[in-house]
Amino acid sequence: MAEFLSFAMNGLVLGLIFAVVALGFTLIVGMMQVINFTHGVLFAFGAYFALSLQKYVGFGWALIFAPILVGLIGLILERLVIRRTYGGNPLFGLLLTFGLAMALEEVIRIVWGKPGYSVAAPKFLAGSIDMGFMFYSKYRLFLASLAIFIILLVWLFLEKTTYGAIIKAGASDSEMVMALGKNLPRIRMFVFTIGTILAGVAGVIAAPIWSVRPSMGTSILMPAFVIVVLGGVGSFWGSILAGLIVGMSTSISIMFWARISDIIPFVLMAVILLFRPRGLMGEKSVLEV
Amino acid sequence: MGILATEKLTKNFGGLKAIDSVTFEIEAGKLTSVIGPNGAGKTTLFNLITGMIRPDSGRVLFKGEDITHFPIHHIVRRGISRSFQILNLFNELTLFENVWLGVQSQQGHGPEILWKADGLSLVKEETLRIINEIGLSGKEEMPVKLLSYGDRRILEITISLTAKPSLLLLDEPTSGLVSEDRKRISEFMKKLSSQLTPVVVEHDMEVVLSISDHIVVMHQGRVLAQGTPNEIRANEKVQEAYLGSQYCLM
Amino acid sequence: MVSSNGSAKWISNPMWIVFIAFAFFPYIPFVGRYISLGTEVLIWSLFALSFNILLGYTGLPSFGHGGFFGIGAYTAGIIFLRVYKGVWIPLVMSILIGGFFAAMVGLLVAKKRGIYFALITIAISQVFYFIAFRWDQLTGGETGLSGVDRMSIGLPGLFSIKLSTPIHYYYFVLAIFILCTVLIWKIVHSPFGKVLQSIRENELRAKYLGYHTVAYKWAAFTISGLFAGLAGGLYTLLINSAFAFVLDWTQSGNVVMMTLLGGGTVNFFGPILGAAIFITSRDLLSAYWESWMLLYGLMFVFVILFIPSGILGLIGGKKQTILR
Repeated sequence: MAEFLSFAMNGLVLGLIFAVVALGFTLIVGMMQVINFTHGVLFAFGAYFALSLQKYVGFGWALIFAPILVGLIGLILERLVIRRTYGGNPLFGLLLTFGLAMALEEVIRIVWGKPGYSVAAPKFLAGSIDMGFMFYSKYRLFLASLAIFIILLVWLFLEKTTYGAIIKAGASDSEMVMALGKNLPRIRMFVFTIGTILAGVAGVIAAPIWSVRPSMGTSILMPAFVIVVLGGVGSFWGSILAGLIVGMSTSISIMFWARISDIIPFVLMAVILLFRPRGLMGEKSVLEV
Repeated sequence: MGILATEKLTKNFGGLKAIDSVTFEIEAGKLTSVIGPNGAGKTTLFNLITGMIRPDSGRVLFKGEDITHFPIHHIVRRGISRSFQILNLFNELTLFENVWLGVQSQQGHGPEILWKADGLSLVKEETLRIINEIGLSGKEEMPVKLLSYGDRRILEITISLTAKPSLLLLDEPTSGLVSEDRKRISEFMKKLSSQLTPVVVEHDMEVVLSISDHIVVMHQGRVLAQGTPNEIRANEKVQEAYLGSQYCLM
Repeated sequence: MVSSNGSAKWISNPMWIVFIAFAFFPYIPFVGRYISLGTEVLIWSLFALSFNILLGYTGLPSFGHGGFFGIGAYTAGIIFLRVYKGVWIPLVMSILIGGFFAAMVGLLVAKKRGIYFALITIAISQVFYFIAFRWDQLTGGETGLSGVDRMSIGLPGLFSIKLSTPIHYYYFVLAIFILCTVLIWKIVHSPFGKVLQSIRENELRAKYLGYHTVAYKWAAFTISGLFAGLAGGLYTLLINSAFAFVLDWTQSGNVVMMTLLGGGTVNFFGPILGAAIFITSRDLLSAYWESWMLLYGLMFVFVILFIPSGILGLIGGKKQTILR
């Protein structure tokens, strides 16, 4: 039983990481109709930046600066390259980010080398904590709480601020937003940056429990696709829910039959798509055109 | 029973009742106009009839057959065709290709994977004949996006005719045209009723009153009134609905 | 498309040039030595041409097409090692199985469009990848399958050609390539092909003309899968093995890149040119620079931003704006 609980908790933690990444991804998809292939490699950049920064400024500051650096990269990408693909064939945006992702992954290899690293959790979070019904890793609990906090922040922003409302509106009707006189390019830049920061944050906090390798971006990007399709493209709660489902089922399946744990997300996706073609919470989006 | 009938057709979009329990009939061989202020639901009605969207409740019957849930291409094969309010052409293709595609379909071609498309001489002949009939000979190789607006409007209607329908729904076919072109198209539509049943959404009251055998007035998703042009002209409810708008019932 | 005056000859001039160029390739000084490279170019050209039925002609951005190539590749390997050590049977099976899976997947995706379509095809190809990677008994898992030899073809008693000789295999693949290219040409210039183009241009209007567009999209998907499977099978025979990487989503990205680079969105032969350039430069680059992926990724970006109509689009100028 304790073992199951442990796997379940791990699944929850994994699911939360997925949720944060998927959230950033779906915001970008919803807002700009761009499938951001670089999302995975930016997740990796988050982890790598944390790795390097941690040596100098400690984990706490790394937690703050690494995502900002990632966001900066995202900002530059959007400004210089990605925004040229808006309004055109969506396939071009996809291919563009695909090429960028490949190049960026190679940059990681050049800068940090090919072999993987293991990042240790900061000392004050090492070890386990007695939760009464079980012992569990302090760090993972911290991770989970932080992820939840971030998700709540994003939710508050989208729901309670005017800027957030504009973004939500823009996700379903960008022409309307422009007609209202809002600066659409700036909003898009903002959303893309936020999206990538989310990926970066997820990378930072996942670093101690993930194997930090140049290809770690791909290992999160594929599940991110599945989660977004499963949860419904452009849906906030859809991403969260789907992220948790995928995380939980992956983790639990490791317990029973580790070999197929990779495929679980896809099986889920296929099943859902058969019965709910728009995903769990998706609505008819601009992507269906 | 008329060639087309709707029974309590209803469609909601979110909280908006776009079509509210609409029941009416179209008589074969007569030209029916559907009029009403913007937002009355006219285009939505066409979309429902032709299978572009599904109603929440109600039925659409064509020649007695329930076509409510048929997909678009089925409905077209049954004999209903439709032109669009906003030009919906194959813009990058040539005039010839635009008409050709319609003729090819009507003559039953499409699935042939290893034949030569160019070898369909009957399709080619008919396409050239149609282009000649609409007065656009010589422009066959022009990409449609380069044609004048008037020519594209004509093409919009022409393409919908290639299917040789028995019921033709025309959604604001004169939209954006100068009065001279409007007259041409109105006369054209009047002539059509000898071969098929046209149903026209129109805003130009002059056109409506001159060509219609029957008028259906819609307002806020419901049928407000229907009848002959004279009946509609005299109808108080209709006048009230149009009061203050740009329409002038003479 | 069709025109009011001209017609598309079933082997038009560029096709002769392409075939002759490939026929003489092994005899060109310096480059002719790299026979296997030439064979690989032919195989990828076939793959890209079949992919372009979907992308260029129908407008369907299938980003998981590597999946069917990979299925064809594995099928050939599995059939060879487990069922029959020959040439034709494994290849025929690659075609059929590749086509079968394309048909199944097609059912799922035929109603989707645009990015949604792309996303789902990516995800599905990943399923295939993981299955190949994990199902050790069938696919050899991480190590893959090896020992897929090229046998001989011929008529017993009359003649026999050892395909294990690289140049023999090159001409074998060339013969298949020629046959398939002519077939694909006929398909896209048939009434069926015209309907596909109408779907690309305006699917709604195509429906209103009476075409069952979903069925056509499914058919295009399946046909494309048949040829992709064949290409995969030929590839397995080329490298005498099958590895999971053939199903990797980067392969899918590669074929899209080739097709666009060469100008597949404006010209039937674009994919062939793209495949040739792509395969050659990839081989050159990776031999000299370890971090060639960086250049590769940047090339993607460059093509998308600056030459989206591809090389043939650049050369053709304003004359051809869409694929006919």
